[in-house]
Amino acid sequence: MAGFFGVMHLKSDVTSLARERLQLVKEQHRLREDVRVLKAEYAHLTSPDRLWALATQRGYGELQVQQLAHMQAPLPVTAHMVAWRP
Amino acid sequence: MKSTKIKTSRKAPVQKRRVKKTRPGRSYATSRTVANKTGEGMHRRSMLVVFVLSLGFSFIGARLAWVALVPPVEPRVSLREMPLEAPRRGDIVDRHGTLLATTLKVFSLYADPKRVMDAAEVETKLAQVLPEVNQQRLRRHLNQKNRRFVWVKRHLTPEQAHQVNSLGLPGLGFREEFVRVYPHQTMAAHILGGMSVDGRGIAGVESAMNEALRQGEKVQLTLDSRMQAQLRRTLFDAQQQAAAKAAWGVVMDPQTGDILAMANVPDYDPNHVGAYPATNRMNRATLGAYEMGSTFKLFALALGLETGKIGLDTEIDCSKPLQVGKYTIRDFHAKKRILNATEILRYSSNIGAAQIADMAGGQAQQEFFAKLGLLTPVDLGLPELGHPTYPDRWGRIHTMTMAYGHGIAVTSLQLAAAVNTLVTDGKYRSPRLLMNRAMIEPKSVVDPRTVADVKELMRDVVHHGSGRNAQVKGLDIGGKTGTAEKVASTGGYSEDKNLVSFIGAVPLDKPELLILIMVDEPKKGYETGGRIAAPAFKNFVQRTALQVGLLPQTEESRTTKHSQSLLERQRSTTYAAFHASRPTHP
Repeated sequence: MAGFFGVMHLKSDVTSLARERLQLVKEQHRLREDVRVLKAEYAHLTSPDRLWALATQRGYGELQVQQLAHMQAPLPVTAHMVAWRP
Repeated sequence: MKSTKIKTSRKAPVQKRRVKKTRPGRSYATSRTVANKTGEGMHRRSMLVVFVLSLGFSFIGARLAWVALVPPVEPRVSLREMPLEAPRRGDIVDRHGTLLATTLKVFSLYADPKRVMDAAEVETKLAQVLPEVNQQRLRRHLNQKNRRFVWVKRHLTPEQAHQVNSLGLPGLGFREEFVRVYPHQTMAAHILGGMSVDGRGIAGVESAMNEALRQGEKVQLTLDSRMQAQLRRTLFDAQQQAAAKAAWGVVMDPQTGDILAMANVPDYDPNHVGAYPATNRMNRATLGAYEMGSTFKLFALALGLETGKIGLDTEIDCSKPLQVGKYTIRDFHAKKRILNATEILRYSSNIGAAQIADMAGGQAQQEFFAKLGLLTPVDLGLPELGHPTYPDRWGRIHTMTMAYGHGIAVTSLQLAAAVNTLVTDGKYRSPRLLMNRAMIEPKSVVDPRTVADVKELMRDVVHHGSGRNAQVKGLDIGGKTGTAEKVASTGGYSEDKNLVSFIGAVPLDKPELLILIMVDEPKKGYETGGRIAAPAFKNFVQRTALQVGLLPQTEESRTTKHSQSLLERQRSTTYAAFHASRPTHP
């Protein structure tokens, strides 16, 4: 009798574990799909063309080569910069 | 009692029957008698039965309580419903892993007319969520009660699917499908290609790598999506400005041969391939073979330098048109004087280039072109593969006309790869688009001293010649313009239809970008390479210089920074952005 109930209990446990596993696998599939959609959305939202259009819409211009320069020497350190501590 | 029982049970069937016949009820009477004698045993058995029944009822009661009190795991699903990962087409990504094409699961809505209770209600409610669905067609289908399946709308967005589901209309159902998505839309359309309705690649990488993608493999391209977008925008602007029929371009990494960008306009959205005409879908950069015009003079000069027939200061008479048999070779901007080799390229003299090629000879020219890959197609792995065309018999006149890019047609990729050889180290590098393709060992085909001379010539073109509009202040640029008259449908060359181009490298002493811009049939006023292709080149360089870490070079910076590689510069150089109007620190 005890053996019978033991087996029944075991079967019940296995069934619920299998059901739980199924739920987890389904959840995993759903999350994977969500990740795929999010990656595609991210690629679309960060598309260079889209960002360029947004920047232009807000009045930002393109940075020109002439706006850059090599740092040939460290910036001069002034007295008040030395005195300043974060 | 015990012995009687044993005896009875062990009787043979025949003996049993005989016993029943002769002495019916004997054994029962006997056992009852025994039982009455032993009432205690009877009581024990009764108790056992009561115990078993009680246990059973207790179990059932406990189970009932469990079911009633403990909430079940929702939803109750069968183990047979275990989802399987359906085979899905692999992604396409650029060199940095940016997603260019992917496959997503979508829901498509169908109806079972037999289960639809009120067709009018379904039609009305669906119209609120899916206004684009043809109402008349839907009503007609829903009233066909003998049908069990009707598509209402394919590929719903998740929001639409949710809204339809919320309507709770009986007779409607969803089916999962896969759809190919190109998040950047038109950006790299000609390279990616597209898909047919049955999920097969029909052009570009989708077609070339169809089997690998079908098996779920990821395909990585050498493209840089940011540069690709910049090139496309540059070409689009140039096409609009010159009201041109088309424009296309190629950007190569000179040190590896990797294609960083390759774009065509007009283009198409691969998400909706069928909605565009065939002319938009043509990849002119890989498929089209064209007479390139004056950009070929680079090869004529390089041939002369390589064979030792000329030096940079060699003077050639370009004072009058050159008569070769029945043909006359003229200059577009005739200087009508003696020009040295530098001036021949600077002023793009057909007469000078033809004479240099003639001095080197047809045999040497053919061999030189072969070494530069101009006589064999460049195979990127795409189905859109153009083949060069050139005369079977390489006569003297052909040698001379090919010196300025007529009489031979090559693809844009061939031209880019050949010029790349002349601006790097004299080694030919085969262009590469698919990252998983092994790089072919570069072949040394041109003497480094020739390369150095050609670079000086190209720099001169941008500083003093037809390529002045390609200059970007602070950057060391070299290049060559090209203006080729197109072959007319009536034979001969058209006078008003040109194919113009500019090919150049930046920075010239150690190139990090090789850029080819081509514009097809620009309107009057933009009919030369110097007027539309060179400015487009400049625009592109200005837009991408920061991306590749190209900084304006002063004499001081040239001496300190040139030895560093791009990566080193990106990692180690401190960039300081400033603006002309920004107040300076006191």
